[in-house]
Amino acid sequence: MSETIVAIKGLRHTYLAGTPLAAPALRGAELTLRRGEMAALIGPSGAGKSTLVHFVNGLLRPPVQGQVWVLGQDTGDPSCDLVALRRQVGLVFQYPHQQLLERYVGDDVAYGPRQLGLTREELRRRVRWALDVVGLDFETFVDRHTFSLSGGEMRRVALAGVLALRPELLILDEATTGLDPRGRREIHALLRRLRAEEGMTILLVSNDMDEVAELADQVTVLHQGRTVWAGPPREVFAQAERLRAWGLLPPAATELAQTLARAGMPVPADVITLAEVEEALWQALQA
Amino acid sequence: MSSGSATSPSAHRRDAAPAYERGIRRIVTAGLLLAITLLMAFTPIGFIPVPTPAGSATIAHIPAIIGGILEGPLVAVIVGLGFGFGSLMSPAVPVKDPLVVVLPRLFIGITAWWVFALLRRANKGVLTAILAVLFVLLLGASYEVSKKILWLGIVVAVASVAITVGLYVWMRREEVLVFSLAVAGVAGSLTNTILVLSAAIWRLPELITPAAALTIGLTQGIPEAIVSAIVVVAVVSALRQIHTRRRGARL
Amino acid sequence: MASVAGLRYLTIGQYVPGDSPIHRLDPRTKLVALALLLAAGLATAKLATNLALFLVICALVGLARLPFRYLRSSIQPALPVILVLLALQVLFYPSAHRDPAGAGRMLISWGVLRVSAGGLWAASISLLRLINLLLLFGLLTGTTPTGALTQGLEHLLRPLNALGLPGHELAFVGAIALRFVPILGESLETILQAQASRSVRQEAGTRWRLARNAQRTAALVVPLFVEAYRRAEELSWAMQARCYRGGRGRTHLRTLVFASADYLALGLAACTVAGVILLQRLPLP
Repeated sequence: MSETIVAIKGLRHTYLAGTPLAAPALRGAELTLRRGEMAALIGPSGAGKSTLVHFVNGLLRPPVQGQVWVLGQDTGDPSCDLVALRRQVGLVFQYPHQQLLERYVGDDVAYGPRQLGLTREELRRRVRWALDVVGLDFETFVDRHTFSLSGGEMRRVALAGVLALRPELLILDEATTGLDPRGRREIHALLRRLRAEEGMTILLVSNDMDEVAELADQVTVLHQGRTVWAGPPREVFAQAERLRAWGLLPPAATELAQTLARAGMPVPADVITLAEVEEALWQALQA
Repeated sequence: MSSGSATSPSAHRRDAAPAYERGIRRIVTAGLLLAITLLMAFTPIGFIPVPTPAGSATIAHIPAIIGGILEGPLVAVIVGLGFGFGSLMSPAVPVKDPLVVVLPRLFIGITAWWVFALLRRANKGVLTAILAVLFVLLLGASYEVSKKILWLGIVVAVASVAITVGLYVWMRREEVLVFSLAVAGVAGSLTNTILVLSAAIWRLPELITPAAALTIGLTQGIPEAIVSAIVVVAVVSALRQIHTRRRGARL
Repeated sequence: MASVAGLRYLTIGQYVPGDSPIHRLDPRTKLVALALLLAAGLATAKLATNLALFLVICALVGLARLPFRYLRSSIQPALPVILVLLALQVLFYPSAHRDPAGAGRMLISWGVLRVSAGGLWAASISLLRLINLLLLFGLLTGTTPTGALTQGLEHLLRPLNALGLPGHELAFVGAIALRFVPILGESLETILQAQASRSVRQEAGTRWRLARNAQRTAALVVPLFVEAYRRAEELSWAMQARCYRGGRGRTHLRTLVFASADYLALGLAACTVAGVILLQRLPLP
């Protein structure tokens, strides 16, 4: 079992506490991540997923109630090295144009590593690597105006900017929502490569159950600020009624399998990807 | 939906649009620039820490400047009007005289628009001539000041030389568009400072004396002008893909 | 970096829901009354007039049943600036000014700084005037939701349409702006979070590094403007798609209707202004 790199227990948080606009966001959230795994955080809108994630990279701290332990540091401890934490945990947001800030693409990707005191050569190498990983040619893009790019290109640049810091843990907060299927597939391939080649741990915050079923090793479910389930995706998606109670739907593949099973086809109910449904149908039709 | 067209419409395409479309675009752009203004006027976002006694300078006038530069005098006036109105209604501003708070703000964007329109097509020769005139004016001012307070006059003279020479050197090296943007930003900011303080002297003589106004003008006005130049260049060059002298990343 | 959680809840002058006579007035009435009282308050520097105004305003505030906490928040933000301005006024009060509290009596003299009774007197009146004006605006924004305010403003600007000026469009710009303040505020929160997530160096953020602070602010502001332009593009397409034609023939969900209370209120405002003018002419302090 690989090491635990994130351990959050009993976390509570209220926005604007003490004012008339106080809004409780987390009421006992828990999250455990192990190194090298691809994890997913799911839950209906307003469940507190973004809030939880902001605690992981130190945007929100210290926890008023509960424990947040990330990569060897307790963020509740006043002596916690936030700067190191931000370097080790990368957070990608949903809308790329809200994450870009420099006039030229090269400068934007270099924004993070530039603060690390690297030499000019090292900086160039980092930027080149980051752009390469996201599939953008360095020479073509480095001097382009950031805000003249297409949506997909901006998304890649935003991701490159986060990757350029070489984080150990990469969090994507609904970063694939609204992407066309091809774009999503490319990002998925990218994430898999990052995990395999760089040993990055990845946390996907997503509302897309199909995506979660494809990628995740383990899933945490957040409902009204509380963690209500944590486990492998197969187990989570098998419980249709509880999913509905949490305001979620199972992946399309699972629903298809369940419909088929109800119609009498011998298809197991715990399939989660279309490939599995295809396989199961093939087996069933052969018999 | 439309990919990136908000940031790279060709000027030709925009001007060719029918008046109806342009009218709506103006209303909407003015509204959104005003929204940014209000956001800046009423949150910490709108204040930059500066090395002055007050500690911070405002950037809430910058959307009006940008509105003037990018959209023209009409939008500039509207955003300025909204800025003034918002200031008037705000509990954080103790002055409630519309002639002090609203009227001067109408001119922020107009000045910026005019200065930008004037300078953007100039060549370096014209700019040099303008700088020369500015230099002579500053020297004249320093002479007048030295007649009253000698040491101050000398300081002003030295500062004038330094500023003019610095500006000249920068102007020669930088793109004309970027230079024009910076100067327009400064012009807009100074308009805000000078007109508001002048109105304050006129309407509130017991509270704001000429000496007080001069002090405030110098200590707040100059940092605000510098900040305006930097921010205006950054925003407009991003929105209109304007290149600086260094045509690419600093890598 | 200043904490800006809750930017999305920003409003200019918090509206306090209620059902007082003032709340129920037509927004046009309140705007006109405000303008009248504002003009009166700005025009006079005598104690008698400002005191009278103060009493009227207090009565109105009482009638509006606004909580004290709200009133305090109407005045508090400006206090530091007010105190500085008043201090300056006291210290630099020219002794040649008329001085009803005692002929040019000097209380403290210390080089250039002179605290005279006359200075204190003038500063007190200034303070009263400022409080009056702040309370007036607090009264307006506390009893009128912003939607009603813009609608009232639009109605009042109607005559401009006859003159060829775009009264409706002006009010519409205001409505758009108010609509987008919370939306852009939310974007700004995300922009701040994204940049904070990529800030990996301990910054001794002093106010002396002007260029650096300006760059950092520019970094925040650029994506904000890009977002604003993006939304402007979308909104203008949407308006065209719905055949927006300006103010011509435009109807409203809630129409503004004058009631007898409104005429009464306007009458009272006019009376107050008349009273102020009268007091101004009398030989009172």
